[in-house]
Amino acid sequence: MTQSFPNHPPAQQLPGAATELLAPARLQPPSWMPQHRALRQNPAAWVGASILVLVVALSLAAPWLAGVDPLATAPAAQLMPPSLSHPAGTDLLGRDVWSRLLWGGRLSLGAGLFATTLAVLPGTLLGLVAGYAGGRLDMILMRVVDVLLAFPSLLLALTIVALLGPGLVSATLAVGLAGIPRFARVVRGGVLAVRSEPFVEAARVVGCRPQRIVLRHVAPNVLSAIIVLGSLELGYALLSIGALSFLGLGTQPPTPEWGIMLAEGRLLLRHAPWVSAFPGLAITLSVLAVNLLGDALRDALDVRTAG
Amino acid sequence: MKKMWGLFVLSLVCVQIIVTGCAPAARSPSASTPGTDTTRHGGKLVYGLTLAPSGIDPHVNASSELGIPLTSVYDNLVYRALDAETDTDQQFVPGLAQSWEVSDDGLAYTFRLRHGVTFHDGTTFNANAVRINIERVMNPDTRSQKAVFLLGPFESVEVLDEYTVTIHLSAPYAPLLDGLAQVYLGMASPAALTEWGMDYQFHQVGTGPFKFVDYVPNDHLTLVRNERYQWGPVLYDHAGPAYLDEIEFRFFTDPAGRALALEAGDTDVMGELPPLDAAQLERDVDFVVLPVPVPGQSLGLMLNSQRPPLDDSRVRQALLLATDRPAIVKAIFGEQSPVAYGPLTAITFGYDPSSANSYAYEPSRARALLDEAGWTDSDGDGIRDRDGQPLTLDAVLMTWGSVPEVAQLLQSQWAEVGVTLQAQTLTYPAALEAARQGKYHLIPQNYSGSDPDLLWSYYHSGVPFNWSQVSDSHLDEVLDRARSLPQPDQRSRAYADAQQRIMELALLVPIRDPVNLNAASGRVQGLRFDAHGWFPLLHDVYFEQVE
Repeated sequence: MTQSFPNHPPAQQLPGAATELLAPARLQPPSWMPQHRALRQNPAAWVGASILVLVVALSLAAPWLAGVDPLATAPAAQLMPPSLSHPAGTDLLGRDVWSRLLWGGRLSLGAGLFATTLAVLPGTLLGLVAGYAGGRLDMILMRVVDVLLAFPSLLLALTIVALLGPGLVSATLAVGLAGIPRFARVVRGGVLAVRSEPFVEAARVVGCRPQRIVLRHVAPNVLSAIIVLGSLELGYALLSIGALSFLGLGTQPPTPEWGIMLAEGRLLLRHAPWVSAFPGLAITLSVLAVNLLGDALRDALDVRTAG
Repeated sequence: MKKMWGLFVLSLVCVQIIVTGCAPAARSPSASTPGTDTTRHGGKLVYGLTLAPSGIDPHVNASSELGIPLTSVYDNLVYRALDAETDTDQQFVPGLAQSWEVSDDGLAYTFRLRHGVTFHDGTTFNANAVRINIERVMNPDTRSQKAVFLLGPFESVEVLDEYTVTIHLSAPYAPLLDGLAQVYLGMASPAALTEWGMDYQFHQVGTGPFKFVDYVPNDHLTLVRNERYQWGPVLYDHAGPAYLDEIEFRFFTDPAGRALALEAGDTDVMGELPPLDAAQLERDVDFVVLPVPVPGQSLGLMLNSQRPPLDDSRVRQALLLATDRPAIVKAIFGEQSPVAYGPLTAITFGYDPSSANSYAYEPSRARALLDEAGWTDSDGDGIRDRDGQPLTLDAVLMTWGSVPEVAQLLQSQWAEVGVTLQAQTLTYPAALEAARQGKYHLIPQNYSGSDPDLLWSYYHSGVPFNWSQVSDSHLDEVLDRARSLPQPDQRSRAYADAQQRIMELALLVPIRDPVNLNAASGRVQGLRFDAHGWFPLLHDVYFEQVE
């Protein structure tokens, strides 16, 4: 008779716990705000952000900074080394590499950003639905994601390009679509971790509708993971789109884009290294910048290292 | 790209191989050293191949690459002479056939075979062996991709006696000897063909100066000297067995790495070098560059004459006049490459030099023709239009032959006269499909072949590789007639007519005559190439003796 059920917490503790857990929104959601200081103090973040701002600014300013038409060929002026009139030299067809680099940046960075968005939005949505709904729906969605994850994502992108036909649009779509499973998987993991937290259960108890719970209470808690993964995805997308263009499956000649510029210079490497060195450098710096920033964001957003 | 060149070519004929400006002739006391020179014997040559063929059975597969090693494994009934003046001299010289006669109606070719020839496996070469080889090629189960086309309207092969054999045709077919002179109709040992069946490509047995040892796809192919070889054709500089002990062929599929491999000593000979790399090697005293002009089609973009607006010949002619070919060739292919003026390269038998006068770079005439055809820039955007439609052309490109670079210069040059060119680079199968459906205005084509009858395969109405989609009764008549004419000079005239008609109709934008840029270490002596341009005569190659 006097025996209590050990698994039940003492009754008098419940009211306190409930009040505390009913206000989780202030405890958790804008989790990336307070850590701003950590971000600002991280030199890697500064380096990454500076490079990125520079590269983006240069690309946006292409019409004013490029000087000459990136498509204007001049066979007589082919393969000229960097000089005052051609800051990055000229390529086999006599086109100005500097101009192509700037205009190419618009396409490369733009396509990378677009592909990342394409991976993040549907991936996040799938992960939220699967993680929160659970059960059979989760099972089905995640098995599909598992199958897709079993393929290296560049291979997946290659397959998609093969179906869509070559071109920058299909390469961007392909890289974006190929990134969806990663987001779905990570977001679902984050949702599972939060789903049974008391504040979510509390929200459910007070009668919130599922959409509201997912968007207001669950999603903010996986936001940091999405931001970190998204920044890494951007670097990956830049590389992959460049790789597809390099292979001739992305941008078509004569459009300037870093990947295809790299490919155009490959046979000239011993004779005119600048033709591929500059686009190579542009890709490397951009990916490096994005990854440095992503790393810093992770440090700043991760509760365990936020200190 | 080599694969392309090889595919489905029904032809052959002559060529003067011009091994320009390089060493073998100058350095080696070349010319017929009677018998053998023992100081030249020995050594192992490493030879760089540039493409890994999908199969190397010459009777079955079509790749040009397979001929580079296998030309030394097989002998042919006849050989195309290296230096025949096209119309007058004898175009073919004896090989395994000592002599041959063609019947007056052109339907029967009778070959008297050389006695005392043995295959590498010790079996005897005779008329029955010839019959078995030809029947193997003709057998549908062999699925021959090229050799079967070289035999043209073949009807039967008849063994008259131990050393006499006749090939019967159902229609006169002048390119037959050219086909028999190619490695794809090399004579293989019937015993080996029977023993290995579908695996024969890994166990090839011929009568040539080198014996096939082993082949590991994408890795290497090894040959060793045939010590019994005494029946070489007059093409070879010396009689008796070859000089080299062994030849190992290795694959260097990446163009960017070829010159490096040669410089690093990974190979003694390398084919298909990029032009800038060849130019650099030319300045290096340790290497010799051997540019070999390739007979056959010039590298060109076929104009789809059925698809508007290219169905108007004035528009096609305007495109040719708006093309500064010398500037394109110089920028992309360098000094070693001749500019092309017609559908055939200048060293191909039957080439018509008069086509060199047509379509010089004259943008003003191009503009006038486009105006005349109703294409004017009515909205002032720099692009011509007619009935509200801009003058925009679609090109289907492939990655071989620097075609994308050529197309980009065309884009610039044609933009000058108000024509927009849109390009899409496709893989070979995808491009073939686009070609089949006719979904292009321009598409590149470049097949090699030593007989001008190849024009039949690309410009006769209704044939699958007629990518200019031409259907012209005059052209059909000339091409049909030319392949049945017995005399080389008659054929030559007929093909000149055909080439003039092709250029009059402006069916292609010719760009350049392909030149295979080979290079070799300075130690390699006596390297020459046969009349087809791709295949080395390795029997005469030796290493310079280092004292």
